[in-house]
Amino acid sequence: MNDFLKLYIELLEYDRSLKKDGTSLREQDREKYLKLLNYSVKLSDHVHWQQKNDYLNLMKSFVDLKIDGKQFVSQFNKLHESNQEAVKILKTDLKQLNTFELNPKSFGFTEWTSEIDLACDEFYHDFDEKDPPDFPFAKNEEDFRNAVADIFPQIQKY
Amino acid sequence: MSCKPRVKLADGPFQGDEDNNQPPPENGNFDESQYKGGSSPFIDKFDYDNLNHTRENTDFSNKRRMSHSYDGHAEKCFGIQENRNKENLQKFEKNIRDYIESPETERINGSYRYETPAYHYKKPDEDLIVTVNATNNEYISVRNATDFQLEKLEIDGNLGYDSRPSMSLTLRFRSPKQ
Repeated sequence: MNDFLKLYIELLEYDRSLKKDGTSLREQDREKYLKLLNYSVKLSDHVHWQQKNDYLNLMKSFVDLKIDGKQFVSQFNKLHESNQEAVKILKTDLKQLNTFELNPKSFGFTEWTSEIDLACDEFYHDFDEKDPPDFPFAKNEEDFRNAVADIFPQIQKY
Repeated sequence: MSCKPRVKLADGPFQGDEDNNQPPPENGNFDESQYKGGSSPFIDKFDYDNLNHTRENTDFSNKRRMSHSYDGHAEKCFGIQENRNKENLQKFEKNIRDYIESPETERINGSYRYETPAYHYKKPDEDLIVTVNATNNEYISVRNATDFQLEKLEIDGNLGYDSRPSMSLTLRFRSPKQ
């Protein structure tokens, strides 16, 4: 088992015991709480990273104009949400965690998938240049495709 | 001398990420909060305590924004599965209001993409966050945040990629000393 995981389980159990007493790690020890959060991110990185090729294939389809923005959002959400569900289960399943091996190669991966997730939210498929949405971060199809194209090499590096 | 960039390096937001760990120069005018990896550009500089910006006064009047948000998040965040109509939009708004106004909900003063000051409303141990523009108290979004987003919110209150110019590249390309 990775050292990360040992520490994660220790902190998770500590947080649980504090919660039984009506408090939490966040309230009692911010430094340790931030470590717990950081280990959660690493678990999440690993789970999403295992689907790296699915993310890349989907992004490529969009960048190569094989699917439109609306289709990309729908398919990305499906993939992202199913990984998020897997993360949610893994994070609290001590039995599974005890036999889990994190690959350090995956660390940082969800910075990019989180960014796509946010960009999906900023994409307006009905963006009208003559009457743009009253939201400075709103993206039309081209902006959105460029944003995904910019992230593509970052994900490819993993 | 100001260290603000004089050369636009790139249009893409994800460039120049490789070596931005140089410390800022020993210069009183240097504002590291304007650069990637620096502190929040708004904390201690923006008035988050505007008395008109109460939780109850959050502005949900932007119909297009609300409709867009409904389509993307009503089901995921609140289990509202019905098609969007006036009644369901009201239900969606009420769910967000109730969340913001709940006594358990904390307000995190921060930013959206380091570009706009923002309030993020969040309950401890939940991943649901409501983001509001702190300049006008207008609703921006509701989402189930990822662990990465939750960590960043906890550290410096920002949601979204840090697309500020890279410190090292900026230093490399600045004008020669005069």
